[in-house]
Amino acid sequence: MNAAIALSLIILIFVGVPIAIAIGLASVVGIQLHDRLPMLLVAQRMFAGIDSFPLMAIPLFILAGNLMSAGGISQRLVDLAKAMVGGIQGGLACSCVLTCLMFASVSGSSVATTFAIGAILIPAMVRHAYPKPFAASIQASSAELGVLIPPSIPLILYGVATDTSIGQLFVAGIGPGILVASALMVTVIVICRIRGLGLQDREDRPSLRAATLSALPALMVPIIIIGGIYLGVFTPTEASAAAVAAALLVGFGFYRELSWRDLPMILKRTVISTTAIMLIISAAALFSFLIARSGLPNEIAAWFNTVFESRFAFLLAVNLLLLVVGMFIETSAAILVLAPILAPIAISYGVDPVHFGLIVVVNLALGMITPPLGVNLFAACSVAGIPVERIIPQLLWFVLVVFGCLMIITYVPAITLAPVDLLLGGG
Amino acid sequence: MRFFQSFERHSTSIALALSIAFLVVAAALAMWQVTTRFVLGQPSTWSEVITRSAMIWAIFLGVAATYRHGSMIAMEIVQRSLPRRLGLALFLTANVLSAIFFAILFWQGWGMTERVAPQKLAALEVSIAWVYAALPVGSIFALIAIAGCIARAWSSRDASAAVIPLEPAPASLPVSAKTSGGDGA
Repeated sequence: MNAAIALSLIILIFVGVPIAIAIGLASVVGIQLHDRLPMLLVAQRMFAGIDSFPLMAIPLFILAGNLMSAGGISQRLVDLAKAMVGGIQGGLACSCVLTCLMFASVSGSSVATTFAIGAILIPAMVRHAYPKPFAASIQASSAELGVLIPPSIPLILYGVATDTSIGQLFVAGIGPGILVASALMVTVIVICRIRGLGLQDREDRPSLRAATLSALPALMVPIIIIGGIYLGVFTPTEASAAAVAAALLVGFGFYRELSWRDLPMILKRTVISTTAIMLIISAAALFSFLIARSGLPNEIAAWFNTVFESRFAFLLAVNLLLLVVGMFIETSAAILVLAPILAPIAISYGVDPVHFGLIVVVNLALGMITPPLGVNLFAACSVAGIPVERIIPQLLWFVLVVFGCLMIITYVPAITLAPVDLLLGGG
Repeated sequence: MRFFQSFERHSTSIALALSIAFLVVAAALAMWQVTTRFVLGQPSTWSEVITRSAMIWAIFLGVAATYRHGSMIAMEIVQRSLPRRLGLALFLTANVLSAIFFAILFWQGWGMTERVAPQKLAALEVSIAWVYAALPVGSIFALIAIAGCIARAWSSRDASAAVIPLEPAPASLPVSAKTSGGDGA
């Protein structure tokens, strides 16, 4: 049965059936081949899969992110980043990384980050004589921060799929986010030095004071979200509702760039993004149920336990597995199907489930900037107006740097866990 | 054919409008829930149930528009790298398979709706069937929208004609909001 499910899933995805539907149809094949499972499971499991209050944080964070980008926050964050790090050679490219880091704290998605920030910074970098493919590759790699820094949709999914505290995962994402951002900035500066790029970046920068003042209301939202979760005031879903309220306040009240006429389009975009992701979650719930019933997770766990003797070997195997999976499979689907199988095995090797969540997300996020299915690459190239083939040669260093960070995050648990212990008092 | 395409446009925009209405209800109630917990000291019990239920309706009613605007997340690289005729054939196959899935979901969703009719939602005197009905109702709208995609692609013999852009692309940006559809990621 498992072979039939896997084979039909692969064929359906290659034909171009939407991932959510491919997962659903492969499950239908599985139920059909099993003589005692009723087809009603399709409806029952797909319903139960999204009938969850923690998952409601996803649409609400998508809505808050869309309201914030329409409400004038992107430009202010760009100005603040330019004022902070724009003064050196390659400063504009560094600002791109820093803006993505800040934008990630209001957005849970890396593609949304690419569109919001890339639309401003890719043309700006091109004006400063950066080659288009280079600008696009910086944008694509920095946008990965969108899923590391809280709020993060993949971290919510991992938390729901493995019953791990989403609040702790959010706090644990900060260390890896800052690590990846710093590593990318250093890489950008070195490349700019070597290739002589970004020489005019010191020009047209706002003063730090003015930029900070103007960005202050925009920074209120991350403060509400992260502060609320740290202090234990909010659950992540409550924080997402508060983020929507704050985004409305900032857009209508402070910047006055949001108008009632923008709302229909913002809501349309939100509903469509929400459906695209939640339908995958719904179908993956059905699929995981079948996989769990088939006993496959136990077989895999037994196999891991006999083949890999140490924690180190196990983690390395996970790294390689997720690297390959991330290249071909959409992140949410990969998390929902694999995390419930892998997390218990990781715990049996003595890996903290929160730490493991960050490993999984950073690892799969690498797939967003690697061909053939790098969603960030498609997004950045569509903003830059270049074909995807042209960005690929520029990516090598960025992929290597993020991979290096992944190794550090995997083997130095303190980066993820120290802030959790410090702020949430252990766990 | 033209009659059907105009019918599909109307049916999908009705589904989208309803989906947005449910999203607004869910978001408003989630904010209300936070307010009651902090201001009144105790969270209202009914708002969480309605938030979840409204979001389920928003999601299943949103499927039709997600197909129409080409925002379902799919691996289209094979379709695109094939010669045009073959790519079209693959696109049509993928859509027929999608339609088969939603036909199954309609049928089984209806079955579940009938089966849960006697059960009440927690904290409310309302049958769970009202929430489960989102599956069959959403599936009907989805089937119409998928038929619309097939019709547009077939009548112009071009897979890319199936997708109606959600918003006109600004001059500086090339089209392809393809990847902007959701992403988990």
